[in-house]
Amino acid sequence: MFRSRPVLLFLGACFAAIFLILAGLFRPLGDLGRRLTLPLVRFFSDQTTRILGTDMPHGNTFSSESLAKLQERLRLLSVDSARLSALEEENKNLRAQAKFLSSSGYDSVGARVISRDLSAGRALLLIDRGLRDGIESGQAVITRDGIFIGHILSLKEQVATIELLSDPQSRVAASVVGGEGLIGVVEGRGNGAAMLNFIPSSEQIIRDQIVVTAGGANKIPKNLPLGIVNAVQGKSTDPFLTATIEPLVPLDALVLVSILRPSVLKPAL
Amino acid sequence: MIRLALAFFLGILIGAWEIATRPFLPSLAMIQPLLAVVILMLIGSGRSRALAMALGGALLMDLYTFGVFDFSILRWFLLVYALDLLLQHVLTNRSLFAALALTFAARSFEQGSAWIMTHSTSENLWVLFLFDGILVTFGFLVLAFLTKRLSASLYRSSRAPDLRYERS
Repeated sequence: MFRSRPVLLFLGACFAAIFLILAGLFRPLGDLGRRLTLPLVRFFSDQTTRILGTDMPHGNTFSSESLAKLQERLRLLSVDSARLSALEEENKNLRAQAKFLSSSGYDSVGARVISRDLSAGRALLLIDRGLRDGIESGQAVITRDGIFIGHILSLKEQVATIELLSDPQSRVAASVVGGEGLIGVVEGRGNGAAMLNFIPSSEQIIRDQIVVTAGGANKIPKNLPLGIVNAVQGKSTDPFLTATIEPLVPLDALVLVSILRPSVLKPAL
Repeated sequence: MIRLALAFFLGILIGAWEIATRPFLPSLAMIQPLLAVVILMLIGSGRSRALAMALGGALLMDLYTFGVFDFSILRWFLLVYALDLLLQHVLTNRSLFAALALTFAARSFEQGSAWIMTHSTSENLWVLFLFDGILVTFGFLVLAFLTKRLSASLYRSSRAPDLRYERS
């Protein structure tokens, strides 16, 4: 026989719990749970990355032919980079990047990746820094070398989610090295790929050009390198061109990252 | 009570391992031991301890979820109750075959409920089923040899026919 009373009580309890969760009344309990368990999660992720190595490509294999092509491109880029660095405009940009933290009013917060979600085309990372570290939604996330990889999507007291630039929902205003202002929008395509869209056909953009952030959003500074142009699509008669962007670091093998935080938000010691 | 608490903490440990380790493993190494351990606990020790363990693991998943809330606790709570109903009324013996059938049903339920909440399921689902089957088989055989609770044969509660009487 169908016992309606316990079922109704259970359903009522479920709806009440869902309502309380959505209203945020369980948030202090969640913060307490994360505070207690974060060392354990950090320990497991630390041991895993230590055993597997930090440079392990996630589910990707490279043939010797493609590796040789990449090395050739790297060599050409190095030559180009050295030549370009002699130019005054380039010097200004490089100086701006190198001395970025000391001159731009930003400081960086180091964070460890404790989990990631690369399923269903998403590209999200979970890090062990959160609201208590003075982090805010939308802030830029870079590697130790200053390469832009994404921004803070959501925050909790102890942890935060990073949306990588290859995530299909990611949108970043972009420019090219030496260029003036916005040139297009970098949109993620999943699986480690990104596209630079809405490039005016009047812009001169070529393969192997370095793409940098254009600023605009006050939490993402200008001139952070984010990728290189792999291929440009479109005709000169089209109103807009698109370009395939290759990230400068393997986004699925990141372990340590830094969040750029305006100095004024740095917690007092 | 102490055993319930131990099961809960073991669930937390396995949940933490799944969250922090699984994303860094190669994409085909889809090792998710919580489900296998919960099923073995359900068959070997009963619903309450399996539930405590499942809730421990689900709590960790909810604490470190990427979305707002994917209701892991509720999903695992329903999962354990559904598995217990299956075990009591459909799979009436506690054989390895029953454990594997339960694993298949459990993973299907878990992935189905995950799809309802997040509109995404694990890639390479058959690899996931394969790893589940390996983990449950290995765990079941170890438990069968170490304890008297489980039988490694396919039949346990239903008696095998005695051929001596049939011959005579």
